[in-house]
Amino acid sequence: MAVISAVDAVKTYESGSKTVRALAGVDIAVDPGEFVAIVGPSGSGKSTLLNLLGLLDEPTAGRVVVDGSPASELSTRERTDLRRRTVGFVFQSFFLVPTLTARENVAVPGLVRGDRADLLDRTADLLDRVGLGDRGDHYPNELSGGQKQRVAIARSLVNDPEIVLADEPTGNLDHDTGAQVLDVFDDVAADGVPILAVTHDEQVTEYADRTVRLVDGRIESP
Amino acid sequence: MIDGRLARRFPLAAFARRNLSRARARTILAMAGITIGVVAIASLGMFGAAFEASFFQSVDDATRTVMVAPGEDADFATLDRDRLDRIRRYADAPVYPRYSTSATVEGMKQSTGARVIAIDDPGQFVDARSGRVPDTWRSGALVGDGLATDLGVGVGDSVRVDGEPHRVVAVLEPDNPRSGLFNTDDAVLLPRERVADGTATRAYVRADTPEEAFSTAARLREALNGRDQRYEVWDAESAIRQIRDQLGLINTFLIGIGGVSLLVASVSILNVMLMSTIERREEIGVLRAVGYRRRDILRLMLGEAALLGLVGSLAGVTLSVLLGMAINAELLADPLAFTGEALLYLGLGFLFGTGASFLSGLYPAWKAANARPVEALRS
Repeated sequence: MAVISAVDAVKTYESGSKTVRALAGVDIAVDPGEFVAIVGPSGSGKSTLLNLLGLLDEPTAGRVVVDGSPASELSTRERTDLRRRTVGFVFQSFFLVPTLTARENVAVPGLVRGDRADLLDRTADLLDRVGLGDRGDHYPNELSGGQKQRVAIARSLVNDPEIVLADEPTGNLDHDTGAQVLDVFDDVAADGVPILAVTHDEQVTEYADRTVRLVDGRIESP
Repeated sequence: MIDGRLARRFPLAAFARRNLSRARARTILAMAGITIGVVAIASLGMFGAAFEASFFQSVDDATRTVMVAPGEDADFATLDRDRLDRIRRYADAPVYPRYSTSATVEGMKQSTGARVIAIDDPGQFVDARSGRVPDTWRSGALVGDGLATDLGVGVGDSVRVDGEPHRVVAVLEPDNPRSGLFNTDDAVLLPRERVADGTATRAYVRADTPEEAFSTAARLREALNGRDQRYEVWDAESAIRQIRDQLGLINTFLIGIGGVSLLVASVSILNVMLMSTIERREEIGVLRAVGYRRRDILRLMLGEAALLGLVGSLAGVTLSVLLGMAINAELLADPLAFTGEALLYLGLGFLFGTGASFLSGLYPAWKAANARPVEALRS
């Protein structure tokens, strides 16, 4: 069964006097363990789709289903809590907290709720998993771009999500470090946590199990 | 941040503290603003309190004294033995009648007419400029400062009062700073036994505290006077109240100045927090994305503002205590002589400092908490 899916999702924005149709009815479902790449030109609605699936935004029409139950009709707090339990995020610009060490950055999503007792062990495990076990006490400005992105991946996994959503994860990385990051994604997917990455980067599609092409807010049939 | 026990218990507080370390100079300056505000409130308040204490310390003897004299409706001009007994009956504190007469006083250089005052236990009412004022006395004379100069006498010399010789045991301080109740500059003080024809025109009741003196005065007025004002009973209550009112007014003004500086400081906290919110837009967006509730962001940002205020205020309180000790040493001759009022101002300064920071943090924190993560993360 799909971990997360969008059913006939439509998203429109009011931009000045015009109504912009960012998504014009998209159906997509992500199964456990698969690595899906969503590609498409700028303005095709990739980021909008990611925001809908990540429960950061609500569709104008259609619905987003998480674990078989629709995410609409949730309050802001319920959506926040659902997001914390089910979704991990990885961003193009990493967005690590500069005043915290790598280890602490990984721990950030676990600080507010849930089991803090074994948080330290989980962070250590996750840093090992992304190959940064010896970099835990380094601050972001002491890490390379690839290392920062791997810290960000570890952070996305600290709350045991059902899915990891990545927005241009290799956008700020060169080819080699991009490959390292994508290897980590492959490992994560192999462990059963699906990855959905929105990207311009052909390299990502090489690693992905499946590539979905988005044009003008619609999925282009292969 | 996740290692320490305290940090694990209050992770957001630890997080907030770490956030403050990112713009260290800005953080320190914002704290300094609060520190200055707290110092202004606390030390100005403490200065006022110490000033008041020192004032009442200096007039202490006068404020706990009640004076009784024949009133405007009296059919007598002196307090004879019966009347003094009546006063003693209603006063539950020692009563000192003051007898006075005039006499010719003869010194080394010349002789002059002077006032002669007889009072028991003169140590309660006057201080010596040189020599010693005895507590109880049967012989000797205390000569006022001006009179001693005129006569050219000092301690150990002898003066003749109406021909009777007396040894000068002390020359008194000019202006009688001890009590201000009567002028001694041109007078000679003698024991009661040595003044034959003196009449008592005043009696002083000396209580232990100003409050006791006030209640004694009230009781005496009630007991001694019927409808007529046969006795005039004076105490320092209304004078003190007036002075207290004025000191209070001055203090309110000083605290107001301190308050304004704290207001300026809290505007700077508001500014710092707002800048911080704007700079960390994406970061806060990420926190929201990874499942921080709006309330968590609110607590985090308020925690930062409160920490600024707390550290700034603690520094302010420490500085104020040191300043207060300097003020106390200067005005009260004891660095640790903090009055209850002074401590109150210290607490007030601390409370205002932390409170102002917290309030200034509210709007930026609310703004940060309600920013939509989608907008914040749009690259």
